[in-house]
Amino acid sequence: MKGQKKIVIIGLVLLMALSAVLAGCGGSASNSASNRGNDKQVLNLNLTQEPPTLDPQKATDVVSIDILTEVLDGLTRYDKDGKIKPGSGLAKSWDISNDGLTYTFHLRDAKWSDGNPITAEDFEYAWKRALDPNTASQYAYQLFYIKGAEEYNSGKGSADQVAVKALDDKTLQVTLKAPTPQFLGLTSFVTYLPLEKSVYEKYGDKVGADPDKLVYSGPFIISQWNHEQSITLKKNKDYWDSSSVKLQTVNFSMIKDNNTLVQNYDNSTLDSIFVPGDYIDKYKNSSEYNDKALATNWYVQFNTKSPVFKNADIRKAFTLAIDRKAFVEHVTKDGSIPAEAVVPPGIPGYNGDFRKEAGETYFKDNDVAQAKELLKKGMSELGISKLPTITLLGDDTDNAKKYDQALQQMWKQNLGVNVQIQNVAFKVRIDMMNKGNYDMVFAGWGADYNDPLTFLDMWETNNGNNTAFYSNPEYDKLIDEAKVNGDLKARNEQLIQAEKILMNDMPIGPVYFQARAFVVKPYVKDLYFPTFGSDWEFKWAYIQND
Amino acid sequence: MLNYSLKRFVYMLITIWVIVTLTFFLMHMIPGDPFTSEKKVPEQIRQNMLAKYHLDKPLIVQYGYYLNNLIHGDLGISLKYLNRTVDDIIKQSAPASFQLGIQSIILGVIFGLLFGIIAALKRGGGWDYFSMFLAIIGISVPNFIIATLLQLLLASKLRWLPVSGWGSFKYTILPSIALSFSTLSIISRMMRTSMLDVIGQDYIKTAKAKGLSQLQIIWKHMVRNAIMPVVTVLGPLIAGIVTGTFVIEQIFSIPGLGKFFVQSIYDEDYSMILGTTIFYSVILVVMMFLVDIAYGLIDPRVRLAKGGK
Repeated sequence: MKGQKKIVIIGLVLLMALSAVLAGCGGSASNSASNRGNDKQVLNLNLTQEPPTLDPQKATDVVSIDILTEVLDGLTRYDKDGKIKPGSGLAKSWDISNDGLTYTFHLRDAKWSDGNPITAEDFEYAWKRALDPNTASQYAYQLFYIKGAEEYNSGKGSADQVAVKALDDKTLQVTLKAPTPQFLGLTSFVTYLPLEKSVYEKYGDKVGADPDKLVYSGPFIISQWNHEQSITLKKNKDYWDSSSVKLQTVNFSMIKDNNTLVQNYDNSTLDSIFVPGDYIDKYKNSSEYNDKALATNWYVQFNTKSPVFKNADIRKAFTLAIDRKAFVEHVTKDGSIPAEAVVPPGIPGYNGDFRKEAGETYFKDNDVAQAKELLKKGMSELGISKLPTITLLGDDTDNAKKYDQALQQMWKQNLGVNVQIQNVAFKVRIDMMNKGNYDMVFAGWGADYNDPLTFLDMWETNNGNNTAFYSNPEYDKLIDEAKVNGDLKARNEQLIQAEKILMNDMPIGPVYFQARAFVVKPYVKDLYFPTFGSDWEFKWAYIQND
Repeated sequence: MLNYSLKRFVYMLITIWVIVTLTFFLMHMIPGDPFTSEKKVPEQIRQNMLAKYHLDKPLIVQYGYYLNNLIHGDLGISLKYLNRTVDDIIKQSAPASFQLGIQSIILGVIFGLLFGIIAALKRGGGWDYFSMFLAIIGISVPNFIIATLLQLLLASKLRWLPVSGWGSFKYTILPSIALSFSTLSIISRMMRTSMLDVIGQDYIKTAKAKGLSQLQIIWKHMVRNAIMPVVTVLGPLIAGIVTGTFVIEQIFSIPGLGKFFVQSIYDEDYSMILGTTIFYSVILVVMMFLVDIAYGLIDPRVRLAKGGK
């Protein structure tokens, strides 16, 4: 009896030892026999989830955008270097009126994948469809720059009053409400991507539910879609620029488990993955590893209506007490950059990078002495000797919890303040922010378009995204003026001034500008990772054969 | 029997109605709604979206709509996958979960019973300890650890089987094994206990005295009597497994239904929450009904008792 109990125990111990050994060496890509036919132009990537909808006017999420921007072309398309150039999309050229309001696009000769020509009327129809209240498109507001668009969408105007018009088969004329420098870039955005008019009429609400309920104008077509499992793209032979496209096939899996994802990369089932946080150390020193700054900022947002954070000095104290350098080095570890300003680097200003033109920083990182002083000052301004319980709101994901705890520890160590953490589901967090049921929240914002305004106009007094409830008339005035200013140099100055005011009032304490870590197999060439919009651009990618 | 079945069917409908009603009102109490998003959309656009999916109506009216559609067999359109209906999603996802569930149940039940019976017969012997060892592993080690270990060993290291994915039979082997462990342990422990109860009974002695062979005693007298508690747990166990498991399906990247049970709540995808809940309840209630019928087949006393009523 006793002997047999021993056997059970020894068995358990051996099993534990085995699992430790396996887990330990699970990482090494020891056996790298590739399962691809070496002469084929096939790229294997992973989507983080099933695309919620491939109806271009209804898609709002990055996964749907990943697919749609590879199978559809807009009037414009970002080139390899991330720039919009005439002829990079379906418009071969355009004229802009002197007041910056009227755009006339001249379309190239191009075909849908069913052989029909792509016409200006397809664009007019698609844009008006996005604005039709019955379509109930969430991103309809992306088209609100067009005259008459908002009125039609809110039922106060008609489709005919929307200032987008096909003058003939190949000419599209658009009139805007106000000069909008980012408009050309916007025409490459998913909501602006048309399908053929007849496809919309045939499938209605089912557009984009399956590959046969779409028609293609981009570098690739969808040849197969197994829901929740895989998507296969094939080269579009009818694409106007098909000579630039070298890949024949792109396979997408939909793996969600991080460990499974990494294993599939290690055995070359996948050619490139975004590295999950826990695995960054494993790849960091590999030549396949890289990271890329995204146009996204992360910050601690203060509820300026809360009893404590209505005081600007206390907001500043909490901001200065964060050690950003340690945060990106030891917590995010993905190549993110410490942020001491609002607009991320890479966003264009007047002549170059807005971040350089406005100055890199507005305050010193980890300025503990100053933070302590400001806290003392703020508390005496409020007439309190002891802070009430302060809660940091955050998402209930593993990463968010880790980040929140790091901040909590820094405030404890540098300010001696005990902050509680409340982790809730994403939609619940958004709801609490909208209702002002929080003290502080750790939040992020990704660019909608390539302009500093996308990070700044949200802090205007009545902007729906201003859940810090921040209000400064001077700030509002600058942003309102910049929005319609046709003098781009003066506009840039106004945006710089506005950012300065924002950082002085500090409704948000910047923490870091996000980067994303990824690994790519050495045989994959010319796979680009855009700063915003989609995860990849593989129009020009190819597989290098030995 | 027909009368009994009819009565059960009516109870079943009432049960499901209660579940639907509770779920409907509970899920609407979660803060936010399906269209809550990080980037605020203009109020008018929000209204357009709410109107399209009838979410602008009073709750009780929405409830009426839903019940009416449900009676007509329509589970509605998903509020996350805006151009797919819940019926479509369940139809597309359930088969994978079902196949996986059935395979793992078959594995779990066969080996569970086998180990349970042998452990009881060889009580205190090597087999008993071996089955206890397996049961400890199956119960105390979560199945995602077993899954990851199997993946590392058989797929990544030895490359006998694919790491993840779905398609042919070879893709189902690892997840079925990983999933079967907990069933195996529960059933083997249960079978062992209930066999030990039976072994001590007088009628076993009688059977021995009658001169029946060992195999006949085990099969006809021991197993048949001991299996009742196992059959009881099997109903809910099967219902739980064939409707999909979130973790195993995620680890092996299987296009099953499991993730919708969890994800729909995060997405506040109301029609999907109700759809998965109804699907699960129907399977569960049907399984319990089948268990009741199985009692009758296995144990004549149950049939008599019901006939007497």
